Amino acid sequence: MGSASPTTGSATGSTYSAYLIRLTQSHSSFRRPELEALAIKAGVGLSFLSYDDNSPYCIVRISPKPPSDTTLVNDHDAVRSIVAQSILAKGVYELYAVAPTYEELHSQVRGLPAEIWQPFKHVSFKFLVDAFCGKRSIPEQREIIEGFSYLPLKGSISLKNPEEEFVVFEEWDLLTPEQHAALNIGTGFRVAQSLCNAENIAEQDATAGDIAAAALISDRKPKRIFFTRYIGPSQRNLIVKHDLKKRPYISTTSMDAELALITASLALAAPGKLFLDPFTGTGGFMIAAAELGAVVLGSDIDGRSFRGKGTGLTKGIGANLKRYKLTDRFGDCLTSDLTNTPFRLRGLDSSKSSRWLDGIICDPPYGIREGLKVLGRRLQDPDEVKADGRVIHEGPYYVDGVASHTLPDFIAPKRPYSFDAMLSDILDFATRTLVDCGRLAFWMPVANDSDEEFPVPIHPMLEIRHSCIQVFNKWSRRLLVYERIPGEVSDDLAEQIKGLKVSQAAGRKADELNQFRRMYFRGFHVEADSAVEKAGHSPEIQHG
Amino acid sequence: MKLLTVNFLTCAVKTCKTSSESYPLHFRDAQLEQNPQTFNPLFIRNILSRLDWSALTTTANELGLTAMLPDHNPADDMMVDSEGATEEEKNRAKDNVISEEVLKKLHTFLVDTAVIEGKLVCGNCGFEYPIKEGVGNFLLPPHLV
Repeated sequence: MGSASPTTGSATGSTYSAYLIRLTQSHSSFRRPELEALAIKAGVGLSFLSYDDNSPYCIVRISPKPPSDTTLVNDHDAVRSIVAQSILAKGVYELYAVAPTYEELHSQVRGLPAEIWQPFKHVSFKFLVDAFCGKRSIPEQREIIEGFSYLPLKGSISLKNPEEEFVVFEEWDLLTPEQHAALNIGTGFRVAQSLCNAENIAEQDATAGDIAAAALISDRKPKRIFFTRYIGPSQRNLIVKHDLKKRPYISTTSMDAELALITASLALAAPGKLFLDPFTGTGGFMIAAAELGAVVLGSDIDGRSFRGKGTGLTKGIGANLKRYKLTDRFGDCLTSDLTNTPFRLRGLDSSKSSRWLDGIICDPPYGIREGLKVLGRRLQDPDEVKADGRVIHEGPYYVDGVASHTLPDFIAPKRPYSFDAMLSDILDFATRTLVDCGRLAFWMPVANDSDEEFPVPIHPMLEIRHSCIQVFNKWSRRLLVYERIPGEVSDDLAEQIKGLKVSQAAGRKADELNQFRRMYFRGFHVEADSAVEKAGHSPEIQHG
Repeated sequence: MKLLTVNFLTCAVKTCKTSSESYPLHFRDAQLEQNPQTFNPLFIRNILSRLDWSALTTTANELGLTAMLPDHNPADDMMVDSEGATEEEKNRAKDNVISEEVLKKLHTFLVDTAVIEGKLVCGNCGFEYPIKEGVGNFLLPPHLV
C-alpha cells in the first residue's frame, strides 16, 4: 500500500497503528483478561504495548495480523469489534502520539505524514481534554486545544454532533501523601472554623497552610499525554440495562450485573454456544450469558430459587428473561445436585457421546449466606455413619406403606458438604462436559492477610487462563477461569486425578467442613483462632 | 423440558451411570407443548455433533414424533473426507450441506418442543423423575445417594 491511511494502519509499525483503550478504574484486575478473551472470541491477535492496573489508559496493537480470509478487513475494525463487546472499557481511540510533555507531543504530531489528516480535512469535528487524576480549567482546556491549530482541519466545529472527535488524554500521577495532606488542610480548616470561629490565630495558620497546599497542588502536571481520535464505543451501557435494582426477580445473593457479564465474557459466551450454570439461583449468570448470545441451561439443588413464588418459571427467572427479551436463548432449568448430577458425563456414563457444553459459569455456595449442601441425610447417630460422612440406610423410608420419596410433597434431605470437595466436583464435572477449549469460570472466596493459603484448585485437563480478584474488607473473592485442554481423560490420568482429589474434610457440621466459613464467622483472626480454640472460648467474645 | 435437554441427561444415581439401560431416560405420561423460539441455525449447527442420535431417535419414538427427525445425524455426513480439511473448511462444508430446511426441522424438534408435565424414568433402576410445569426434578432420596 503506497499511502499509509490511518484507517488501515501501517505495516511499518509507526505510532498511529496503535490504539488507546479508555478503561474504567473499577475491577481493574478483570480489565486485561476481558480484552484478551474478547480478542480470542473475535479471532484476532491483540498485544498490549502499555498496560497498568493503576491507569485507565491502555495501548494495544493488533498483532499478530489476522489470517487473510477473515471478515475483519483491517486493524481498525478488529480493535473496534473487540472493544464494542467490552464491559470494562469505555471506548477506543486511534492513537497518534504519546509524550511526557506538550512540546514533545506536538513535535511528534507535526512529524506525522500529512495523508493522515486528509480524510478529516472537511468534516465537522470537536476537541476534548480528558485528564485522569488531574483537573483542567476551561481556559486551560482551550489553551491545550488551540495548541493543535496547526492541524489542517478546515471543517466546522460541532460540539453536539461532530463527525470526528479528537481527544487529548492527560494522565497525572496519583496524589502523593503530602499532596493528600495538603488538600486536607484546606477542608479540615473549614470544618474547624465552623466549630470555633473565634480563633484568629488558628485562622492565620490555616491560611498559610492553604497557600502551601495550593503550591503543592499547582506543581502537579501530567506525566503522559496522548493525542487520539475516537473510533468506537464499548457496551458498558449493558450494566445499566441489567442493573439489579431494575430486575424483576433477584435474591440477596444475586451477583451484580457487571461482574456476571464479565464472568460470561471471560468464559467466551457468544452466539451459537451452549452454557450451563450448575448453581444458578436466581439465574444471574444465565441472563448474562444469554445477553452475550449463548443458549443457557441452569440447575440448582433448590428449585424454589429459580422458580420464585410460582410453580413454573414465570414468576422466577422467566420474568427476568422476558424483561430482557432473552426468552429465545433459554434452554432449561432443572432441580438437581451437582454432586449427584443427572447430566451426561463423558467417560463415566454408558453413553459414548461427546462432551457437550461450551461454557460453565457459576458462583458456588460458600456456605456463609446460603447453605453448602448436597443430597443425603444429615447424620444423627454416629453408628449409622459411613467413613465419608454419609448415613447407612438400606432402602427407602415408608409412610403408611408408601415409599416416602414417591409422595408429591417429598423434600429430598440434604447434608452439609465441604467446599473443597465441592470445588473438586466442579472441576471433574467440567472436564467431562466441556468441549475442547471450552471454558469454566467460577468464583471462590479467599481470606485477606491469611496465613493459611487457599490453594487454586487444579486439574490436569484444565488450564488456568485467568485469576481475577475482587477485594472486600476482610475477605476477597477470586474469579478463576479455566480452559479445557483437548483430549480425553485416560485411565492412567483418572487414577492420577483420584490421587489429586482434595481429601474430604472430616466432620459433620458445616463449620467443620468448610475452612472459609469457619474463618468468616470468627472474623478472620487467624492466630487468635487457634489460641482461642485451646482456651475453649469463642473469639467473638475475646475481640468484643 | 426441551427435547434437546433430555439428550444430555442420564439417571442421577451413580451406580446407574455405567449401565446402558440408564440412557436415555424414558418419558412416561408426557404432555407435550410447542413453544416456538426464534430460529437459531448457528446454535443447531454448533451442537449437532454433540447429540447422541440413537438416544434422540428413542425419545422421538416414545413421543410419537419420529416424523420430525432425520434418520441419521446430518453432522455425520460432514465427517466423511474431512480428515485433511481445516476447521475453516469443515465449517464451510457444514454451511453448504446441511440445508436450512433440515436445520429448521431440527430446531422445531430440539428447541421448540418441550414436555411440560410427565415423568422421566430410568431403564435401569426404574426411578421416576417428575416434570412439573416444564421443570424436571432430579433430586434423589437418601437411600439412592
